[in-house]
Amino acid sequence: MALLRALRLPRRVVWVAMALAAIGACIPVGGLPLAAYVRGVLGDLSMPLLIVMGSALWHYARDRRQQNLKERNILLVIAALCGLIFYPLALGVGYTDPYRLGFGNIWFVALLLAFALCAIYKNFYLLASCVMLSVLAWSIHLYEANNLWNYLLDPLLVIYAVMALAGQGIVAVWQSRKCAALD
Amino acid sequence: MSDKSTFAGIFRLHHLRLAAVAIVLAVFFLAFYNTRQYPVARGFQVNEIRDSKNSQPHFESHFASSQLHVQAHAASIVALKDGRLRAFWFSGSREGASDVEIHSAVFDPAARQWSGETVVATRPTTERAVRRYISKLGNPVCGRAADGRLWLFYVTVSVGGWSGSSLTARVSADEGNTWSTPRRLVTSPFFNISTMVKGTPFLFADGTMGVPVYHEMINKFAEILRLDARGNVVDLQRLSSGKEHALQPVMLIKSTLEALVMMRNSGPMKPRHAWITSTQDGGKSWSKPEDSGLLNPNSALSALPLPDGRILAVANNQVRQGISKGRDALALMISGPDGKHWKMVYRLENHVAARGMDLGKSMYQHMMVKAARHSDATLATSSEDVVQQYATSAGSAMCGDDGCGFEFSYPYLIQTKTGDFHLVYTWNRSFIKHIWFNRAWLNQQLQK
Repeated sequence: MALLRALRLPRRVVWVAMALAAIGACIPVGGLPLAAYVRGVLGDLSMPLLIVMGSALWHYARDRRQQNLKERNILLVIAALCGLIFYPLALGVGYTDPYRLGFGNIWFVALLLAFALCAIYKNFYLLASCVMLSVLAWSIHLYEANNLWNYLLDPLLVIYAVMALAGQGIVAVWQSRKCAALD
Repeated sequence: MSDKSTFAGIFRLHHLRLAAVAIVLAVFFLAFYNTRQYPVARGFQVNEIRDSKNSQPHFESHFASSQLHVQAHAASIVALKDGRLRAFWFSGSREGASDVEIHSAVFDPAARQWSGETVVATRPTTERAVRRYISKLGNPVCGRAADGRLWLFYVTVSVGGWSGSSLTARVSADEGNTWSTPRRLVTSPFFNISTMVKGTPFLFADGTMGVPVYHEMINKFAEILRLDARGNVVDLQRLSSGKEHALQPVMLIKSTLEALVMMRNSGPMKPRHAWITSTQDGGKSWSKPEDSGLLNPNSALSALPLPDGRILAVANNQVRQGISKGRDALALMISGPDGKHWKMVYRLENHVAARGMDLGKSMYQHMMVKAARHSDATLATSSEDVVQQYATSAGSAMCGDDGCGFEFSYPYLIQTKTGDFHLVYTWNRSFIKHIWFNRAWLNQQLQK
C-alpha cells in the first residue's frame, strides 16, 4: 500500500487493477484456476499476514494512513524474530524441532493465551487479534494444516516483516543524515 | 465536564478490555479442548508372526511390473487380508517426468503370478483433487491402519526437484481396488515442502499410524509422521539433525517399547555407513544417530526384526577400493539385535565386475537377457523374443552417453503374518522385481 501511495496512481485505477487481478486468478488454465498454481507454491497464508494485508487495504480504502504504527511495528518485529529463529530450527538445524509444539502442545497454547492477555492489557488489540484468530482458525481446522504454527506464521510474513523493518531503518538513517547535513 | 468525559473514556476502555478478554478466553477454551485430538504416543503395536507352515525352503522371484519401455521405480508392498500381496511403484517415461503415474499389481501366492498393472494415481487426477498445480509424482508406500483400511501415501511436487515435494494420501476400504479422493498432508511450516516417504508405515499402540518420512531441503533429516484414524497429522518427531544427512528411515519394532530406526546416509564421509537410532520408551525419545556399520553408498535400504531379535536387511553393500559405491549389487544382510554387526547372508544381485567396463552392445544385451531369465520364473521358460524385449527395455533405461550399467535399488522388505518374506526392488530402472522366501530358506542360508 505504501508502494501504491508512492506511485500516486489514481485510486480508481488501483481498484480496477485489483478487481481484474481477482477475476484473473479464477481463470482456468490447463483445468485449474490460475490461483491454484500460486497456491501450489505458497500454500495457505497465515492469519497475521491476512490481518496485516487486510488492515493495510482497509486504511487505503478509507484514504487514511495507519494509526497504530507502533503496534504494527511490534507485530513485525515479533514476526521477524520468530521467523529467524523458528525456520532454521524447523528446517533441521539441531535436534530440537519447534514445529512439533504446534501439534496440540498444551503449554504452547497456554503461552499464546498469556501473550494474548498481555497484549490486551497493553491495548495492543491488533497483536491480540492475530494470535486469537490464528488459534480460532486452528481450532476449527480452517486450513488443511493441523499444526498451529501454519496459522501463526508463514515465510511470506517473515520476509515482509524483515523487508519492512529494514526499509524503515534505512529511511530513518537517511533522514537523520539529511538533518545532520542541514545542521 | 472534562473529568466526566475522561471517566466515560476509561469506563468504555475498561468494558472494551473486558469484552476482549472474554472473547480470548472463549477462543482459548476451544483451543485447549482441541488439544485432546493430539494423543501422545505410548508404545508400538508389534506384528504377530506365525512360523511358516511350509517347512521346506522356498525362494522364488518374479517381475511384479509388466509394462515394457517405461521406467519403474520406488516399489512398496503390503499383505492383503486374503493372503495375496499388493505392490505399488511409480512408472513413466523417466523419473520426474509429467507422465509418471502410481501403478499397482496384485500377487497371488497360490497361483504364483502377478496380475496386470492398474493405475492408482495420476498427476492430473491428483492435481484436480488437491486443487493445486502438480508437476510430478514420486515414491508411493502403503500401510494398513488399525481399522483395517489401506492408506497410500505418495510424493507430489508442485515446483522444482524432489526437495520441493509434499505428501498426498488416499485410503481404500476394499484392499486397494478403489481409492478415496487424494488429500494433501501438511507436514512442514515452510511452504509445506520437502517431505518424502520411503519406509514401511507402522502402528502405535493407541491405533495411530506412524509413517517414516524424510526432509531434503537445505538440511537432510529423518522424521516420524503420526496420523490419527481420519488421516489427520497429529505429530511429527525428528530422528536426526541436518548434521547426519540421514534419509529414508526404516522402522524396526522389537517390542511395545523398543524399536530401532535405520537410515540411508547421504553425507560426505566415506565409507558411508547407514545410521541407526533407538528408543526404549515407545518412541517418546530417540537416541542420537550412530554408525550402524552397514555399508551404504547413499542408497535406500530396507530392514525388519526377526522373532529371535536379529535384524535382516536388504542393502547395496558392495565395497570397491575401500569405499561403498554404486547400486549394482544387492544383498541380504543380518546383524545381531543391536544392528551394528553385519554379515552377508545371500547376494541377490551382483554386477560389480561389469562396472566401468566397455561391454559392447551385444555383450550387454546378452548379460541383460541372462539376468532377466534369472529374475522371473515365467521368463525362464519364455521364448527368446520375449526375453529379448525385456532385456531391450531394461537396456534403454540403463544406457546413456557414458555407457551402460546395472542398478538394483530401493528395496522394500516385509514379513507377512505367515512368516514369509516378500521383497520388492527396482530392477535396472525398468521393472519391479519381487522375491519371495521363507524362514526355512533363510535358516538354510544362515547355516552356510
